[in-house]
Amino acid sequence: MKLTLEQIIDRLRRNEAFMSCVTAWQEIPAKDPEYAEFPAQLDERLLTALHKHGIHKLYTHQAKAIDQALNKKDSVIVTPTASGKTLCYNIPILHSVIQTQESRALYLFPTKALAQDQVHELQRIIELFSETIPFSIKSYTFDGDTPVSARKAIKSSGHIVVTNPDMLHTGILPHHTQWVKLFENLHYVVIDEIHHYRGIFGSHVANVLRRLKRVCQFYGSRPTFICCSATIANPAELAEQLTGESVTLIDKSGAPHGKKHFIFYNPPVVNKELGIRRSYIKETQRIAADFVANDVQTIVFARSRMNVEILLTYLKDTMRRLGKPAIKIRGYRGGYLPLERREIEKGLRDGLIMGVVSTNALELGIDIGQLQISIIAGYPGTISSTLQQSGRAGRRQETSLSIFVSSSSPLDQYIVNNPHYFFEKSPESGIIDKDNLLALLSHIKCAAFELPFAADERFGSNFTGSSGLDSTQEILLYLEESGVLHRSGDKWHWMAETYPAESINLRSAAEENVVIIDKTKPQEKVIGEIDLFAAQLMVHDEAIYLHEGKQYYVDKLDWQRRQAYVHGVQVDHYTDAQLKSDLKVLEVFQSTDTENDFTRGYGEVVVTSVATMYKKVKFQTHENIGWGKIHLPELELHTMAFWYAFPPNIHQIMQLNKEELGDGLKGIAHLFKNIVPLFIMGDRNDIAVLPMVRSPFSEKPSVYIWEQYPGGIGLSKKLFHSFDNIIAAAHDALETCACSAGCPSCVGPQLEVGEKSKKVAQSLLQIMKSN
Amino acid sequence: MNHTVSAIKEKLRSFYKTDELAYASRKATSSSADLSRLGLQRINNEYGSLLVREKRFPLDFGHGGRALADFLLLSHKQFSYINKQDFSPSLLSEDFVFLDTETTGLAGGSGTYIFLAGCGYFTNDVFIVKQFLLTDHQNEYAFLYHVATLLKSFKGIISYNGKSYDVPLLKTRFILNRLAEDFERFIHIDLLHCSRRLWKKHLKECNLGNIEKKLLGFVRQDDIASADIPGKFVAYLQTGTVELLSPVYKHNCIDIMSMVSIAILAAAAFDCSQNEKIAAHTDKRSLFKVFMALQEYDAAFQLAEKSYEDNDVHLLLDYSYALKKRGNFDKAVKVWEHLIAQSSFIEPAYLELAKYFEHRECTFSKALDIIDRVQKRREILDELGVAGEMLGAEEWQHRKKRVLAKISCSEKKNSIGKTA
Ligand SMILES: [Zn+2]
Repeated sequence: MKLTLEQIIDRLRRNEAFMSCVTAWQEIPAKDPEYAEFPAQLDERLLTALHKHGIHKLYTHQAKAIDQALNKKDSVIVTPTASGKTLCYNIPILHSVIQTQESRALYLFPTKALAQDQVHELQRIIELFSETIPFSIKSYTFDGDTPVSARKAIKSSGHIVVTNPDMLHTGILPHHTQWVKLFENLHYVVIDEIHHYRGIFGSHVANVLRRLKRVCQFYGSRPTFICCSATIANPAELAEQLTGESVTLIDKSGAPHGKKHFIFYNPPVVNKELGIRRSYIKETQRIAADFVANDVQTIVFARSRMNVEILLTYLKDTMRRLGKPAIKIRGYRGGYLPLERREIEKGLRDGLIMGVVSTNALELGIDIGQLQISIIAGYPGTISSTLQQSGRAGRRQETSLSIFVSSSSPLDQYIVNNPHYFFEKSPESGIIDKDNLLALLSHIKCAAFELPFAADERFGSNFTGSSGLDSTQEILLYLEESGVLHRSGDKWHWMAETYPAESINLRSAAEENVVIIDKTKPQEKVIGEIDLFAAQLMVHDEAIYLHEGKQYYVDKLDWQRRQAYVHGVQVDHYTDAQLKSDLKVLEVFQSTDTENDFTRGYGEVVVTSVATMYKKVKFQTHENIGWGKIHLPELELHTMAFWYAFPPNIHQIMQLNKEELGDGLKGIAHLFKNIVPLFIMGDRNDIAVLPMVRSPFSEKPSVYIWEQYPGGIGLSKKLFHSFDNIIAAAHDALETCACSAGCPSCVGPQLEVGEKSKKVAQSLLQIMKSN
Repeated sequence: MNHTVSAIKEKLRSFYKTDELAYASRKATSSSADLSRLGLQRINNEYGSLLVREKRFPLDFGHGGRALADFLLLSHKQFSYINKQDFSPSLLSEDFVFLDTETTGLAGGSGTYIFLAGCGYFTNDVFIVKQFLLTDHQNEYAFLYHVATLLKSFKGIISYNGKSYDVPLLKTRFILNRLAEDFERFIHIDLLHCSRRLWKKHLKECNLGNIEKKLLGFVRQDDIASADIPGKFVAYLQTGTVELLSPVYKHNCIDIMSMVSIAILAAAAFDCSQNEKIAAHTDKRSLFKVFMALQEYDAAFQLAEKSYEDNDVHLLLDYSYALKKRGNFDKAVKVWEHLIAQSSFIEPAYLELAKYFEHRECTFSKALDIIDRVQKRREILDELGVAGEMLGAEEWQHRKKRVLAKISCSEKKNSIGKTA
């Protein structure tokens, strides 16, 4: 007999084996909708069309957002999944176009796929107006795929142009004279999914928006910014950093949802000594099979394409065993066309599809309708992604269930063991530093190409950066000296022959990148680009490189030509490169300096690093199964770092020998490396951690955390101001780890950090907490 | 955190270790005596200053084997041919200005500046090449203002690749300087488009240099390479030495003179009897298409009739389609029969004949004969493995069945008629 979702939930609760692995079971109560009237000034024709579309009233957050936009107030809207976010901006913008045919709007999405999805949705709404207004509203995507023949019409007659920041940067702004109509009449700029614009990408995008505003000013327009964000700690701050304007925060959703159960599940330990747990993929298979067998619609999120395949195969087998058609289980990966999505959506509605297994492609705002259960196999990296994935389950007033199945990675283990970090207010901040010297230099070049700089002009109005620069003029002078700009009269003009935007990649920090070339097939294919600092770690000879969930073996890294040749493989291990780093503090920006005490500080540093060797590490068990040498030249990185220093005599205070202290420091460094990303909404590659028993700079035992981007992007400053949270989180992680004396999930493998590391780290963190 | 300028520059340098161009100190601007020695004149207007160089050429001046005066003899009809576009009879040679610009880069976009605008035009029995030179960015408005004033007296622009390069760039500069000029109002003859139409088939490369070499019969001596032009302007800005620009304005002047000759040459190409050398390099099919587009059917058909001797298959096919469309089947059949008599297999001609015999003349046996010949030829090509991507075997089979049915039907009719 089939069970209902309530019965399934009930049965889970009575299942002792299951419950022994549950670290948290939260019940989020149902919420009734809160409605509001349409703002009074909305155009009648627009209202008629919306009624025809079945939209008779608005949720409160929609009404507020629309009202802000109609009154030309910049805003950021923080919306849960399926709360009708797009109406928040589509309604005021369509209103503006209906009333003034000349009015224009620009939509920015982080990816091409999202932009295309949005245009499809827009066109469906616009069709409703075909009878009520005398002209047609035109919305187009404009990106690298737009045919040349279509571009002219888009430039002159597109009311709503939907694009991505990269295209705005290289294709639109440098050619703004071809977009006179758009820039003269630009009333709105929509920036959706702003939580993606963080770190170096965000720092670049903030500068692209500075350029956009500069061009608008030239044409005499002042667009209103409408930003949308998933749940993060600082949506308003991030939106203000990006747009350079103060924004209204709209974060009280009026959308209804049913009751939701959210379960954290940690697979059982099978080897206590090594801290090894049962495979989370197998656990996910088992749990999901039970649901689909009972015809409860379930979506499973996996972190890699490979895991999607494994889960898909297993679930299809389950269906066949039960004598049901395997077609009821579908895979979903990035790059699906709207038509295929519609088909899945329809299948879910008609009950023809019972299960969807997906990579995180689905989390990015693309809609395939709602299901009853979502299972998240492995922490997606951020709380906001987790919330978005969990939000795929839950329709209207029905009960829904989300289960997070933790992998054994340190961050997963931290989250599953410390659920309050997740369920209380999100600690993740989207951090950018738009005055990062390199980003600034890059975009001042682009801006000078677009329009000459006035002698007293400042690039961006609130110019106070961590780089220590307080004026645009220094950079302009430097560029003049380099022969890139020419000062004539009271203006700086672009003088080089080149087109600067072309060589500036918004998604990476360094100017020089290594191109990764897939040689699996005779037809070579470029699959990606990474900067030099990452390249020495990730695409050295014989490395296993992961790209979109696929594994590649690096046959050769040609350092001179900046090219890495790879071919696809399927192996059970990954490679972990060891970096020999040295750090020199150049300038202290801020410090809590006291002579013999516990101090913390941040400032500018130069890091020299050279990749020396790599380990082959087995998935799941983190077992070391081999190693090799890396031969690459030394790299120098000017960046920002945060540091924490202990009193010079800490080992005496704590009755440790130097070696034990060293092991303890290694242990907390390992913890920081894995926990810091939780607070900065980044990934482990954004930062590097270096423990030193005696720092040559302070002559004290210290831990340095530096940013892996030239010039830094503001993370060190953030760490300086919120390090207490990280100490507490690291302490919690150690306390809750199931291992006896250290494991890869906490301080690192015992073989590397020593047997006493966990114990020493515990007491170091304890003393840090109280200082 | 007080950073001195030098500290920041030091920091910036640490990111960019490449040796970038050192910035030399500027010399004083050239004196007016220096300028006039170079044929330049400084003009000051209320917006700033610019340099102008004016060169006058008598009408009998020869360039590329043509006298400039020949351009004045061109009729509105000839301009229509050149541009594949109908012009009104009121259009005169003097209505056009030849335009060629030199720029600070080839990338395009709003950071590319025009520093030299060369304009050539006929007035009072003389050809004038007037070149405006930007002396510094702050004088861009003054510079463009003069260009705009000159352009106002003309109805049309003649350029070489100006449709996709010079004019869009000029538009960009005008917008950036808030100067109003409606470039849409100009008739624009882009000789690159015309050159490609007429000569690409035989010359392959249609850049100015190749046209000069192959058709105008000269090769430039000591000409500056296009890639070196932006550097000259940078050097001029850095040093203030105008002489550095002399290779650029000489180059620009030759560009303009060559445009005049190419326009004359292109017009001549439409009259094949006039010049055998040009006729040999010209793609007749393009001429035919231009004539057809301009509804000059007599000229088109005359040209096509003469092309039997060249045996330009595509032109003959185009011709036959045009004849068919106008109901002139006698001549069309003549063309098709000429084509199927050739050793190469020109399938469309067979197809047209098969259709003609079947549907129009209703001589089914003739149609069948054509179909059989086609099938035989296709078989041979197939065996040789050179059939390639030939499609339509089924269509031919289908056509054959239908014709056979028609034959047997009419035979029946005939036999019924006999017995009756
Ligand atoms: Zn542990």
